[in-house]
Amino acid sequence: MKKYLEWIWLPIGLLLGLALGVGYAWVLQPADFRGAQPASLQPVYRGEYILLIATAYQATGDLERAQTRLELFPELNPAVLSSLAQQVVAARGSEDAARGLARLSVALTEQTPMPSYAFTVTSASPSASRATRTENPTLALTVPPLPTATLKPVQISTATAPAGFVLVSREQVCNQMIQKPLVQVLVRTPGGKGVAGVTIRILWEGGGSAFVTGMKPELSPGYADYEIEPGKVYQIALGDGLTVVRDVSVPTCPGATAVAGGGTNVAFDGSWRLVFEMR
Amino acid sequence: MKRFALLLAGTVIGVLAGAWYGWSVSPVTYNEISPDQLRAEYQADYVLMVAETYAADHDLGEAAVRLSRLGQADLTGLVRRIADAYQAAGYPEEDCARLFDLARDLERYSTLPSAAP
Repeated sequence: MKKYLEWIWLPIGLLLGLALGVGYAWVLQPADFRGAQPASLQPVYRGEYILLIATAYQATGDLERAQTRLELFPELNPAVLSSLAQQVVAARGSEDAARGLARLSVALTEQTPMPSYAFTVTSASPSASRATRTENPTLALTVPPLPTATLKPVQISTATAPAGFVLVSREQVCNQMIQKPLVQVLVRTPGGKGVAGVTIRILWEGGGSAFVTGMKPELSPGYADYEIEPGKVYQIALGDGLTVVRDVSVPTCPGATAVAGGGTNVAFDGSWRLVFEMR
Repeated sequence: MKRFALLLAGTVIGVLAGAWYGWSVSPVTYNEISPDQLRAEYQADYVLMVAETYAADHDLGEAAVRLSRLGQADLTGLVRRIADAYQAAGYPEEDCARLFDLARDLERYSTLPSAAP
């Protein structure tokens, strides 16, 4: 019996050796580090890297290259890209990045290359500051503020000539299924194809915001909407701010015009549908 | 004596097995890194993305800020090295041109006389 007990020293030595070996390999002499992949970046740098992919795509229109770069981040499906674009817009970050993300989202959904358009950017409020959004547990996107040097006021009152966009229809929408009044914008090519990544500025007395087409690719790549409030008058500008729709306010729909939702005779708040064509 | 031999043999085998496990089966992974710790090819692509964006927006300040994330003091040299490497590797001329343009503009900027008295 005592003879067999001597063999207990072998597993004891094994355990001791394993601990020493693993400790050596993990702590003292880790495997040769030749650099990591972008997916391993700290969240703040990860966000910047993704925005850079989007701005580079916006600059070059090279979808294949952008796709290759996005493959480094497996969580970036079209829905996540669309959500990131919204975050960038909400945080008033780089408009090129927002457009790039929105266009990428749509392009990946359709899996067809989108044309590259040149836009002159009219920037958002200079009050933007660094904002970190962590709604998505796997992504924390830090949106860098717009460079101060690019800021300039939005020229609404002097706008007359179309600058690439033409308003082709402005319709009141009376649909009780739409729970809150909206401005629905559709931007399309003369051929009728929706154009993603177009920034729409909406201004009202004492405030303003922006939204981008392509956030709801299930409706149309060129679709975007914004919730409006009764009692406010809005102005909507596209692209470089020269194509403007003025005096947009929540319309009142007579109950008899309701096309869905049971159609009572009580008047209700309607929406607007604006269709722009890219020229 | 036999006990010592067994302990020693076990330890030696254990060290070898542990090192193999730690290096090959489950090597150390790196998370939460900064851009300067990216693998060289990703750093090069990062610089190319900066050059692509710069070619469109001509915002040299923003390009310099982005490049500074790679932790190198000589931004011009960094971009030029990558441009040379891309050219030598036969990358598209358009990419090389964007990189060289960025390097040239960075160099011009860095050699401007200071406005300070």
